[in-house]
Order: sequence, then C-alpha cells, then structure tokens
Amino acid sequence: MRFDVSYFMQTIVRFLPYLLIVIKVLLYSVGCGLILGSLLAWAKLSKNRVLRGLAYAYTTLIRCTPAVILLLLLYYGIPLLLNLLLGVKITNASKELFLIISMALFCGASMSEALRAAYTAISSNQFEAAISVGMTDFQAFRRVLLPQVVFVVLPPMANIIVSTLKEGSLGFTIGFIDLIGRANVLNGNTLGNYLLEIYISAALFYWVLSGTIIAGIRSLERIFGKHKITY
Amino acid sequence: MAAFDVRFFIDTFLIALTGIPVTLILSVIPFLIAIPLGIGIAFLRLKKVIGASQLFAVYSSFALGTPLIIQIYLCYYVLPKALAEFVKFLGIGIDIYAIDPIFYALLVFTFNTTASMTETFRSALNAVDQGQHEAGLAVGLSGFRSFSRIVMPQVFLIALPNMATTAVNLMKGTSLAFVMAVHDVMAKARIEGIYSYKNIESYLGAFIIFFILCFVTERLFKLLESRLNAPWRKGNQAKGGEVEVAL
Amino acid sequence: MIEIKNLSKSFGSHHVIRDISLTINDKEVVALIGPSGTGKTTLLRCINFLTCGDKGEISMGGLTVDCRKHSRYNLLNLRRKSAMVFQNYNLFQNKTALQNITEGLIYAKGLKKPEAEKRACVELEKVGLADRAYDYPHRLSGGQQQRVAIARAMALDPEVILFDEPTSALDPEKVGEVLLAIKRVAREGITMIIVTHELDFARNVASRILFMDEGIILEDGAPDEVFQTPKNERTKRFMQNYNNDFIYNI
Repeated sequence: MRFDVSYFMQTIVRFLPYLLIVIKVLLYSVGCGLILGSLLAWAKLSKNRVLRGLAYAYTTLIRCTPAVILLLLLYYGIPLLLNLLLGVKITNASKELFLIISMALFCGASMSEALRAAYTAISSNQFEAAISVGMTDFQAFRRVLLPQVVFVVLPPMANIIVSTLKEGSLGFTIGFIDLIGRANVLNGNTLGNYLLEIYISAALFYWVLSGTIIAGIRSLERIFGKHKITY
Repeated sequence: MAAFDVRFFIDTFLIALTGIPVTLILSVIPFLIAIPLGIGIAFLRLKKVIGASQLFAVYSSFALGTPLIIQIYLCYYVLPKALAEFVKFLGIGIDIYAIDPIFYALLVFTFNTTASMTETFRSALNAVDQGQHEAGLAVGLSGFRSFSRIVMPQVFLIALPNMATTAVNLMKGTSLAFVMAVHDVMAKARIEGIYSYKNIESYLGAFIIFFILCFVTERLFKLLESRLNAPWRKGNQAKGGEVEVAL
Repeated sequence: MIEIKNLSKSFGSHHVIRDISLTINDKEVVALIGPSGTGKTTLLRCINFLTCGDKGEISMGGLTVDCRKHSRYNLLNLRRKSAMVFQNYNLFQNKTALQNITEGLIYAKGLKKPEAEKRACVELEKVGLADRAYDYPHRLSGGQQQRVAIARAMALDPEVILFDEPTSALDPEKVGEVLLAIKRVAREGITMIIVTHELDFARNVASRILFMDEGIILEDGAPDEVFQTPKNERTKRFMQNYNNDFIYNI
C-alpha cells in the first residue's frame, strides 16, 4: 500500500481554494438556516394550530429525507415546477445556489428544533421576572431571554452546523465542484492511482473544519456563559 | 423541459420498491452491531482506560467529523486494495475482489453508526447518577448485577431518543450505498432515471420510499419510548434521590 | 464486630484519613461528628469499600479485607455483611419501594421472591410505609424515600448499618420522621455508625460519640463525656458553637 507523501502535500495545496468554497457555501446555508429556523421555531411556539402543524410537518419532512434525494429533487424539481407553473425556463442555473438551498432547508429544520427546545427551557420564569421589574416585552426578550437562549442553544448548534457541513458534501451529485467534487475530478484524471492520498487529504480538510467549528462554539459558550460554570 | 411522466413514475417506483430489502439490511444490521459496540466503547472511555480512551476519542471525532461519502470512498476503493495486498503478504489464497460489495457497505455504515452510538451512550451514562450504582453495590449486588438491573435500564431510556435519531440518520445514509454498487432503493431508482433522463420521476419515487421508511422508524421508536417510559419516570429526568414531591 | 486497622486515605495531596484504628463492638450505636469536610463520610465509605483506602485493613464479622490487596470475592462478601443509607437516599429509580428492598434480598442474599417480598413488607411496615410499597421513588417525598432506604438496609440483616448524613438532604419538617425511624433501628440492637450534623440526635440516640477532625479521631467516648467534658481543645471549640437550646422532641 503505497502512500506518496509529496503528492499528498500537493493535493492539500490544490484543495485549499476549494475549502474556501465549502466554507462560503456553509456560511450562506447556516445564515439562511438560522433565519428559517427562527421563523419555524416561532411558528412551533405560536398559538395558531395550523402554523404549528405546518412547522412540525416541515421538520418531519426534512428529517426523513436523505440529503442526496433532497438535493436532486430540488435541482430537477424546481426548474420543472417553475416551468409548469410560471412558464419560466431556467437554463444554466447556479448549482451552488441549489446546494445552498438544500443545505439551508436542512439546517433550518434542525435549528428550529434546537431553538424551540432552548426557548421552552428558559422562558417562563425569566420572562415573568423581567417584566415584573418593569421592562417592556421587547426589552425582556432582548436583554434577558435572548442571551440565555443563545447560551443554551450553542452546544446543539455545533452539532447542527457540522451536520449541515456533512449534508452539503454531496454537491458533486449535481455536478457542483466543491472540495469533494474536485477530489473526484482529480481522482478521475489520475486514473485512481492516487486514491488514498486524494481522499485522505479531503477527509483531513473536513475533519479540521468540523473540529474548528466545534472548538469555536466552545469558546463562544465560555463568552456567553460567564454567568454559569461551564465544563 | 418535459412534463411529468406519470406512467414512468409508477414503473420506476415499483422497481425501486424491490430495493427495500437491501436498504433494510443496510440499516438494521449496522444498527444492531453498533449498540453493544457503542456501549462497550462508552464504558471504556468512561473508565478512562489509558490508550483505548484516546484512540476511540480520535475515532469518534473522525467518524462524526468527516462526510459519510468520503468514508464510503475510502472503504470501498482503498480497503479492498489494502486487504488484497495483506492477503497476498500472508500467502492466503482468498480472492478479495470476489467479496460482495455489500460487506463493505455494512462495514462503513457500522463504523459510522458505532461512533454515534458511543456518543449517545456516553452522555446517557453520565446522566444517570453515580449513586444508583453505589447503592446497588452497598446492597451487596455484584458490579455486573448492579449495572444490568439498575443502571442500564435507566441508561437505555435516556439514550432512546438519540438512538432514534441515529437510526433515521443511518437509514438516510444508506441512500449513498449506490456508490458501492449495492442495489438498494436509491441505486435502482437512479439507474432508471439515468437511462431515461427522466430524473425527477425516479427520484420522487425514491423519496417517497425513503420518507415512509424513515417516518415509520421514527414512529416505532416513539412507540417504544412510550411503552418503556411507563411508571418509573417523572418527566424527562432520571436523577437519583432529590425529587421532592408535595405530600 | 467491626475493626478498622491503620486506615489511611489521601485524595491527591490531601490526607483525608490519617492512620485511623478503631474497634466497634456489636450493638453499639456510634455517631461520627465533626466539622464538614474532615473525612467522616470518607471513613464511612472506606468501611464498605465504596471508597478504597490507600492502606489498612477492615474486618467485619470474621472477614478481613486488606485495602491494598483484596479479591473481588472478599469485597462482595464484605458488602453483603453491611448496608448503607445514603445522604441522597439513592433508591433504585426504576424499581418500586418494595422492589428496592427485594433486589438485595434476591440477588445478594439469595432469597426466593415470595420470601423476599414477605420480608420487605415487614420492613416497610416498620417504617410506616406499607401502603406505598408499589410506588416508584419519584412519587415519594424525600423523607419517605429515606425511610424506604432505611427499610432496605434493615431487610438485609447486616452486621452493621452505615448512615451517611441521613437527614442532610431533607426539609426540616421531614427530618423528624427519619430520625424517628433511625431511633427505632437503634432499639432493635443493630450495630450502627452514623455520620451526622444533628448533634442533639447524636446525643440522644448514640451510645458512643466519635469526634473527627483533620483526618483523625480526636475524641472517643460516651455522649455525656464528649458533649459536656471534652478532653480535646478542638472538641471544646466545636462544642462551643453547638447551641444547646434546640432539642428535637422524639
């Protein structure tokens, strides 16, 4: 079993720009996912049964759909739907966009659960205490509830971001050239001779990236958790 | 773009259904193997066994921090080559390449799922008060008895929701098995779709099948949880002792 | 009879127990008192090896176990001769009150289920909780849980019952019912070692007081001696802080 170290080093360099693509896609997805997740969490906590039902149905739908299928359905389905319903023909759509959409949909579903759980864990007593001191609802929310919710939601959020990262690793199935896409191309070009080096290097990138995300969230926890003893 | 071909959709759907047995094999076997392995490794790490603890920590971090697809590539493309060389080195005359790819699929899914299980059981074990085990010992039970009759039942109930998530994730993960030339639901759907360029119909069929499988799995676990949850749990806590109830 | 020979225990650089030797005779009710964090609980836990001493020997009913070298078999037997009541009750959460008691009887003492249940019912009756036999711990108040824990210990018919601050985790109004239960145990003539902060109770129930500080036993004698005429300076200072006016009417 041969391992060409110099080639391995070369692939690491070659992959670096693609790492940036992965990070960029992740940032967009998590950003949109947070917004979507907050909206869904709000819906899940609302008094309106229809709203709640829809939010929960959406979460279950996404939770029971494999990532690759979601991506492929969106990629082939959205243009089809737009064509059928609006007569709009989409050509040359950005594959990156579809990937981001599918990752954001997934991220939003997970986030909504985490946010909802965090909010229910904190809310009642703290809110009552805040408004009894004379704060307005909005002040109570912003100054008392939100910081605590952020702290409680950070640990699961680390997991969610890493899961979203992994969900988004399937961009190559629609032909998107992110890190794995590039790895596949490289492997094809070198006729499978450098398989081990290429994919281990790709794995390393993701490993380091996920490790960094988790470490980053841990330090955020320390900052936000100054009022608590953290592990 | 052509409109939706309903006829083709139904045909493909029926073909994809024939992939369900394989999908189930790929979901159930790794899950069942991962449970005892996960518990064992969780114990090792809890007891801080030197060497093994760190090794398995690295293992968990890798298995859970890298995408499944890369693990699949490494297992499916690299492992056979390495095994073949190893076998040649030992002089055994097994033809590695004759091994059915499903074994590699089972291997990589077990590898991945065990890591999830380990994390699940680590946190579940931590959640059960140490005092429960101590009381068992103080009463004269052997360590084994104390664990099996007192601690583990409580651990399992805490672990159940996470186990459900792991099971569903595993099932979703099997949709990548087509990369390994395994004929599960996804593979069959994809083959039909690629040949006829009618992708949306075939993927929609696969989607419906996976959705139903995952949904049923989720419901089964919820049912299991409510059955086991019965009398001795108050809310979602399983702490030892300090529960004051108004008389 | 319980004998502790040259027991020592450190946690890191902190010497919690320094070379303690002690003999506890049958039917003695020993109260172990002293300032917090001075090794009382650790001493108790070393007796049934929940914490393993660094060196020394523990003997119980003819069985001697060395802290440094011991077989699992001997350890098990030692634990089967003793019973413990914990500060946090530590009732088995997934078992009913009755099952909490029968667990040990069936699996440690080898009784058959019907006999175990009969014995368990008797003990529950003695602590006044026969009607809660089929309740799970989370439905019981702290005081009730502790009484079940006491019944659990009694049912095992041990050489000694070890009480680790049995009332420290209870509301004041529940403390009384538990102290009453402990007093009844004392009347049955079982050897008891009680670590407690309830000094009035100790004075009332114990036949012997051990005052412990900084890892050694400073005072050892009958309650009246230790409380009224302590010999050691440290004991005197401790007793000065002890308020004589509150006495539980049991």
